[in-house]
Amino acid sequence: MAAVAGKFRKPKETKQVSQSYWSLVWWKFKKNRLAVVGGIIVLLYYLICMILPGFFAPYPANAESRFLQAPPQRVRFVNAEGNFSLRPSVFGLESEMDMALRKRTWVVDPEQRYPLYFLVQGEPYKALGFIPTNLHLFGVDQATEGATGFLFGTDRLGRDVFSRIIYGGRISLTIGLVGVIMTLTLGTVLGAISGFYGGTVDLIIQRMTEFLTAFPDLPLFMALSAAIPVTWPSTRVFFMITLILAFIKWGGLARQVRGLILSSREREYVLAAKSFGASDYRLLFKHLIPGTMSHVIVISTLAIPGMILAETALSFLGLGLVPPTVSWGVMLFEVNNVRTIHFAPWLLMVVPFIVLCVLAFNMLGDGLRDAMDPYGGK
Amino acid sequence: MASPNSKSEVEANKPVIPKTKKPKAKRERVPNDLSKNPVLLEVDDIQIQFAVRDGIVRAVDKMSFVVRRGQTVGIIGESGCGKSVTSRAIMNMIPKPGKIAGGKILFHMPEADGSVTQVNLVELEPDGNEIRKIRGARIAMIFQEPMSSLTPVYSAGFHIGEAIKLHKGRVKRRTIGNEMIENIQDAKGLEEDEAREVAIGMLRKVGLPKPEQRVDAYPHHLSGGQRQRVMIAIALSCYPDLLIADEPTTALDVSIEAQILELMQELKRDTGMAIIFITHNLGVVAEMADEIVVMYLGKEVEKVNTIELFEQPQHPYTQALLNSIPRIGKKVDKLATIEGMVPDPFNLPSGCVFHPRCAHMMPGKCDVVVPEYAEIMPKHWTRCLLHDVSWPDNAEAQALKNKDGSIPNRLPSLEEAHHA
Repeated sequence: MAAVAGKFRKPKETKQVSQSYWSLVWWKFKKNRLAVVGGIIVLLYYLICMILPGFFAPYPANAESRFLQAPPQRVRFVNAEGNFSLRPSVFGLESEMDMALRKRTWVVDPEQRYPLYFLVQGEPYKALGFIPTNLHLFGVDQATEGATGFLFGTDRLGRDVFSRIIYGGRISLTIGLVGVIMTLTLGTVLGAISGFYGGTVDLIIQRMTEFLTAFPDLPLFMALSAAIPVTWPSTRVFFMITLILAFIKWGGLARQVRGLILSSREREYVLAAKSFGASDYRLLFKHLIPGTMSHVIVISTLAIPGMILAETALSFLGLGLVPPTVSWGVMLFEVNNVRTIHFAPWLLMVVPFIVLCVLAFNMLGDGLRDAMDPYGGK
Repeated sequence: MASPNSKSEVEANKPVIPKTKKPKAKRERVPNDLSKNPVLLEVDDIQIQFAVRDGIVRAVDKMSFVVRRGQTVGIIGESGCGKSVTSRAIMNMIPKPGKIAGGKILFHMPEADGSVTQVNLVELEPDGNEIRKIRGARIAMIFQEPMSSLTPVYSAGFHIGEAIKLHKGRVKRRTIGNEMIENIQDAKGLEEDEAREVAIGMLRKVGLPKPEQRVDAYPHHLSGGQRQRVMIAIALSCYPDLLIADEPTTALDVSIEAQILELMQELKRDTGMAIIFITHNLGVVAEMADEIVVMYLGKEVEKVNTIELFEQPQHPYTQALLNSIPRIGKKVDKLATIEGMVPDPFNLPSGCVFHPRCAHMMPGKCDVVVPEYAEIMPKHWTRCLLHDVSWPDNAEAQALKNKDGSIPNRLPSLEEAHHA
């Protein structure tokens, strides 16, 4: 008998782990390489620009120098003898009067060679806003007299463009993020209420969104920005701009959420939850809105670049943020004439950064959209 | 305080829990006599109307029935006859644009101390606190579509925990002798892990394999039968006095259907709750119900205990329904159907609404006189002019009837009736 029993061994107990919806989403997201790349780029942007801008930028955002509109100093791998060296360095800049243009210009002086060091001591700043330090990722040796390392050149006040791109990104990305969070909250809640209750509430909210979307964007921006008093400090202006952007953009999201709620409120699980004694509030916030979240996350990922571009456009027109606040839009505002573009084209270095950022967000959003529906598709 | 008088009252209020016999042990079924049990739910002349563009649809028109404690009442009828709407009315969850136009639904709510509170469910605010305390806790409901009855973003355990937490303090120890009851006694301040324990116990009770793991399963991990078990677990988690099962097995395949029905029988035996079982499947209702209400076009047409209904159906509609069940071993070219269509709700036939489809239609009477709902035999109610005592001499009626006044089981088909 024992032999027979041995044949039918009990199958080994396997621990079955239930895959939640989000683990399935992550699993599918990982397989989309483009989206993962987009996600990594986005994370890098946030790390460099928002979490540790002081560390990655060699100079403070508004540090002026005597090198006005200096061209970028290329990174070279040569030593003093002119041979290849792993130690990167930049050549110094020499001021020269261009008589034909009657303009002071800068020429590269190969005689002066400033090596670039990693993790170098430099201008003091506060990491994460509270740790005082002077450590920078790279830079020239501060001890050397007149050593400069303007990788992307300087602007008309002699400020390092590279550092300003990083600091500008901090503001622009914050506007994108905060604006989208506000849009999201406003749009989701109003859209959900509109779809859930229907009737008069729905009518009022829908007419409101239509009214907002019917306005041409730019004049509305301009009118609202014009209403911001010029005497306000730059931080308050910054928040007002974010608020304005959020206020104008919530309508689209509200409509989409309303549509989703309209279809899902007829589903049996809502009825079932109601039959167990759930209140309207519970039905709406616990059973209906979580179901729309996957959609909302995708929409908002795709909306962040829109926000960033809107800020850029607004500031470019001189209606958004104003100096001394640094944002990508403010930086573009400084290249708003042909003369500057001609003589200092390196000021446009901010554009590839904006483009890359927007592209990365779109790639991420697209990947999320596919991943959020883990049961469908491939 | 405990005077003998009050004690006996409490005794009287105790429901008689019907013992369902194992079919193998004894094939003969005897009707469960539950008429001594106290009344739990009294639906009285309820009228439900839907105001749509083309006018008013009377989805339920003066429907009345009574559910006693521990009793299973089956409601059967064709699609669209008002079965589901009636059940929604009990929960006070009539979908827009419907409204309860009249009548009352009295819920005799048994309290823990043995007393009874009477609530008219129709009068409560549809989204108010009072009805929400009854929904889920006192009257629970399970639905037709288990595939979509669970919120996709939450696990099975969350659903059960939610139902329990919504009715904190409601769940009291009862003498059922099951381990999780002790867990939820006086569930004020129910903690997260406690709720989980209860959920696991509940899932075990409904026969879900590996409940410790399934408690974390999301709806998409579960099959239709498993989801329906979870639904039943949620519905029973607060030990309701009344369970409304709205076609709970329609979406399931037959073997799962049998399991679910068996489970419901078992749970009913354990908890002593009453069930309103809505279905259009006559086989299922025969298995489940103690008493059956047959509905046609928003009205009850016949009401009697299950066995008598199947043996001696008295309303031609019931007879036609029973005739349309295909029988094993009986070869037919064409399955029996009820001729004609359910009439247009805006243009109801005069007289008895069933007369255009009735095999026993009496011209000049059925299309003129509206039949009364009458008790034609003890505890056997029907709404048919064939049983109308005020006109017993009608030759056609007489010819059809048996000697004792009932109408025969085997009816002539429509063609036969016309040839005669």
